[in-house]
Amino acid sequence: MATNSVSTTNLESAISTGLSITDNDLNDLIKIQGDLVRKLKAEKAPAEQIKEAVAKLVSLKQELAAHHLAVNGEATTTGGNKLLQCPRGTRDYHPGQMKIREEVFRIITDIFKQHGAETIDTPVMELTSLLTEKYGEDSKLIYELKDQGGAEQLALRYDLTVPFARYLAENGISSMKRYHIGKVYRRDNPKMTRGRYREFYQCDFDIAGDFDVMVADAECIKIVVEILDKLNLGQYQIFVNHRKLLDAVFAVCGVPDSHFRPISSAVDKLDKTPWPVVRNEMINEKGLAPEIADKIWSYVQMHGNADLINKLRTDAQLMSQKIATGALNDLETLFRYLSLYGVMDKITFDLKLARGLDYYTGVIFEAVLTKYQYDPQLGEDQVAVGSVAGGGRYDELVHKIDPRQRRVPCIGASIGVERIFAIKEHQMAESKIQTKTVETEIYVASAQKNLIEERMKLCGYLWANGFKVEMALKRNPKILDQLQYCEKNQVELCVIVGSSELEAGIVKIRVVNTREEFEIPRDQLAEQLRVYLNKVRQQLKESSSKTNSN
Amino acid sequence: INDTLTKLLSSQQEESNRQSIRKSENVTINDKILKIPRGTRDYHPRQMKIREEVFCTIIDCFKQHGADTIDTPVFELTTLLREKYGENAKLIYELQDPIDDDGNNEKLALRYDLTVPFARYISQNKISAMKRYQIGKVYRRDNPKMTRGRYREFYQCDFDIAGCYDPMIPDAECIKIIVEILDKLALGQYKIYINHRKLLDAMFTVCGVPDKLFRSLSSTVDKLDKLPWDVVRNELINEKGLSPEVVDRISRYVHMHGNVNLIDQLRNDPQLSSNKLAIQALNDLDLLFRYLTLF
Repeated sequence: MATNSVSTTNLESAISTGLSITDNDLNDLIKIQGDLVRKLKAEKAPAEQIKEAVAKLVSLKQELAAHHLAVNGEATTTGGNKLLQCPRGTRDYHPGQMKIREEVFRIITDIFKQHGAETIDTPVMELTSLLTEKYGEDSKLIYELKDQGGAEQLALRYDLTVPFARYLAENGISSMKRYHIGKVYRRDNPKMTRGRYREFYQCDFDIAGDFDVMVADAECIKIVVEILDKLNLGQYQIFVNHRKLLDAVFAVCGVPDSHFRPISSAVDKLDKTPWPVVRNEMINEKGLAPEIADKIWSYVQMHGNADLINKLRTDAQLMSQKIATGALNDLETLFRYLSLYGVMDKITFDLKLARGLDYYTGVIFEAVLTKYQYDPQLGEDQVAVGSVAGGGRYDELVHKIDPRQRRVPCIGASIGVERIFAIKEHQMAESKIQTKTVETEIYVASAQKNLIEERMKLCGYLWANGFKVEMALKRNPKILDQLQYCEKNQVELCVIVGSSELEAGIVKIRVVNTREEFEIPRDQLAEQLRVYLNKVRQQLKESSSKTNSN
Repeated sequence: INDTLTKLLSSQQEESNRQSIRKSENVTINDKILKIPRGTRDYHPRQMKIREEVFCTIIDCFKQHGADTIDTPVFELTTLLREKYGENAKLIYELQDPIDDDGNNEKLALRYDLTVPFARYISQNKISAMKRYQIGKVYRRDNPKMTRGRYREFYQCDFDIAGCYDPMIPDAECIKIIVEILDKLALGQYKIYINHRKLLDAMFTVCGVPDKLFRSLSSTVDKLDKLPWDVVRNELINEKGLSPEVVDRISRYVHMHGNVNLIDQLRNDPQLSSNKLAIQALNDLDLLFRYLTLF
């Protein structure tokens, strides 16, 4: 590789040490590279060298163009290269996003584990026959695989609940507390600002088994509260309802049985759509009489706390439905348990909560962040993320799937982590803290040429001692580039190898953020590095807590 | 109470052992088939625990070497995956492609490995250097050979260094990482076999193999780790159409193995010593082995 003159230091260092370049850097780099090309041509440098320098200049200019496109919010395909994009509704996770994701998953799984849950994993695809007729109107959103000559018709999983039911049925399990984190696939219209994709993570927690009424349900909701509290997303509210209560309401209002599910999914839209629009849909699209629609509205606009239960008990029409009595009793028990768990202040009993999925049979709930709640009064460009968690009881799903028709009642909660990622990224951007993604703590550098072998030996030694170590992957890197890499990536310490120090059996340690340097005997290197690392981390902790309290 | 507890636990243990034997039957009653797609499997809690530990060990090692991690979608545009996998392209799972409401019609396929997605990622994001690891499932529609632990859906743990660096330095680090991982996983003794594509090509050339057969021959020679030479020889002559003399010349080379001394031996080989590719490859390997010694 041609080693060019000093004026290309920034360029070379940026490329060789993998820094990502921003707009300002790019303009500077283009100027520097342009000057270099002119210089090389004037000096009649070797053709190969000029060619290389020109190629770098061209690619820098292309990068600037791409950067502008990205910044202006257009697709990142340049030069009409349609190959270079993710499929619609999907995205890559960059290192910074992966770090957030890891942190969020860790918090969530810690809580699942605290409640005694095991974890499983299932394939990303299932037999299409398993998935059909489980999702009602949403079935058209299932991604199917092509029939490529095998005997099986396959489709990508739509959620983690149906696979769980299959797992229970297939393994003859009658009770299980499990959590499952995995990606699911829905071919709907991605509304990006609301953090909705076609491929996205779900974090599910489910309790399967025949237990006493509402005990498991209360634990599920308790877990959602604990998770949302720990994730520090701001204020939230958990809306609770009961499928059978809704069914009773529909019956009382005169909704024909066959219309229950479609009307239910219309009611479900009330958290995002104003009533007149939903009313319209019920009358014109779903064929409901206007009086019936209006009577439904008189019920579903009701919300409150446990007191609402008693209010509903005074409604004679409603109480004539047996399922209503059962539902209200369930909810009363549930709220009692939730008070014992200390979470009732987060709960709202809300009759318009319907939840889209077909398989719910009892308690249903949804958690919404107050700050990001959709307000029908505001415009389309509001930053609303819908619900961040939801779930409910589904007692008949396993029975429906199992050829032996065993009945395993289940209750579960799903955490909408994609929306949480979006919020966390938002929070991080606002806090302006620069976090490092790469965890390197020690960088092995050399100030002189021909010390690559020494650096490699040192790396091997430090890796063996459990340190996170990097070195420049060049034979003769420039000291400035190496130090720049350390500072940019917040590497704590830099070990600098020099020939005179080597002869004297010494190694230099440089504390990157203070730029102080110390000499250490080579045979004490591992222990001393641990000491210095602790010191540096201690200092960082202290100074960051000082800035936090300011 | 404690006695009853012990008895209960041991009878539960028996029951769950019986259950795990039972589960491998495909349950078919009333035409309802309850099974998982062919070539895939669930991970039970105990297996998840093992998996978590293994990933933890591997990821710690990747992080020790300063790698970032990324994640990519499980499917890609079919056009991206086409023509990257040679004969294996027929093993790609394709998705159906209905047209979206706005007329958009993408042809999609499940990713076959993590490498092509990585290449797309760095091209798309105009990245010129990156050290990344990625752990994710990949999909291949081949004949699942269950006993050999081969599935149609399975995990890959990739570590890659992208970028223009000095020769053999990243290569040495990659191999060093594998050693560290295999050591930490305590799987028993192991060996890492190394070769160089350009050396293979040089060997084929001096043995008289036509250029266009190089890649297809490579895959045959590759089978020597599982098949005896006679069978491979047969395939080379009968299926790939080489003459026996050429095949015997190949035989002499591909049976060579050893340590760094083999490099000098090959450098002195009368045919190879004048082949430019061979010289280049041997220099690379010399440097690589030097670095591996230092690491």
